[in-house]
Amino acid sequence: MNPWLLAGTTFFASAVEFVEAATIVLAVAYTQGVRAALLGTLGAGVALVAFVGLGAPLLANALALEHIELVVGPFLVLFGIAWLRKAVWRYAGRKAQHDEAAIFAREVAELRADREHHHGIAVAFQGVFVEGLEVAVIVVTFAASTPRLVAWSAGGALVALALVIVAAIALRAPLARVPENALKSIVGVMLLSLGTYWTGEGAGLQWWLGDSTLFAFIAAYACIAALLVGVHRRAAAA
Amino acid sequence: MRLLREIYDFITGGSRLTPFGLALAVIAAFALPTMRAEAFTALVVATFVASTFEKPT
Repeated sequence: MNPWLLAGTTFFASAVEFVEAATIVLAVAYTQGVRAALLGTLGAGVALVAFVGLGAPLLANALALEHIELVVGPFLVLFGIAWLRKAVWRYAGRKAQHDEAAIFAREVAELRADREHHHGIAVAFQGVFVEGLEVAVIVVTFAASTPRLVAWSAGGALVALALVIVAAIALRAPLARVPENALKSIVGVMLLSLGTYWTGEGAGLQWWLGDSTLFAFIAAYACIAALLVGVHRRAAAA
Repeated sequence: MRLLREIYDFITGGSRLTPFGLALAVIAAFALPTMRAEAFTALVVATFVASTFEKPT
């Protein structure tokens, strides 16, 4: 596994989720104060760090590498298909584009209707925890398959987190300009490609091009997704 | 029951098809005497393609 590819995948996956979390946290800070937003965010951050810290070593110690690939690979395939098909639907117009500005407005309206301080903390906690959980699962599973590259996997997520925090502080507004569907497409292709490769390797398959088969999968899935966007667009227009 | 449903949706993105398609692909990877890599890859790709024709979630 190329460490840059690994870090890049966790970076893009994390960036998408952190943008969504930042939108919710900003809505809480805007309506119920920075303290409530920070308390909820810190609580969720601790819970996520505990999940990653406990999950990776448990998985890595419990199973041999080929068994880990067979356990982790199918989850990556499922996540990859879930992300990529949503991106295809959005590009084809079968599903609304993810609109952070609309989410921000909805959160603000709901929070203004409820002035309870602890409700704001709970909303920030839930937003950060739920959005971060998918990233945590990806970081844990990648680290489990290649334990020596755990720093690269976590590093990609941390760089994304730092960039989103800087952007959130600088903008203090929904990060709607981030091309979320493009990021989700890239992550979907990466997850699906890695998942296919690892599941097959875990099942004892001999890949045609050795390790380079992974890059063939990336190219093939990107082309198939682009073709599917065209097919669904035509079907929607007909 | 609701929790199980939420966990299922979290993992599969709400697809009813992908877990079965993937299970079939893994079974093919273990069970077939020849062309295992080809059959496995074709089934995973077919599962992805078919899943895009499900109702958007």
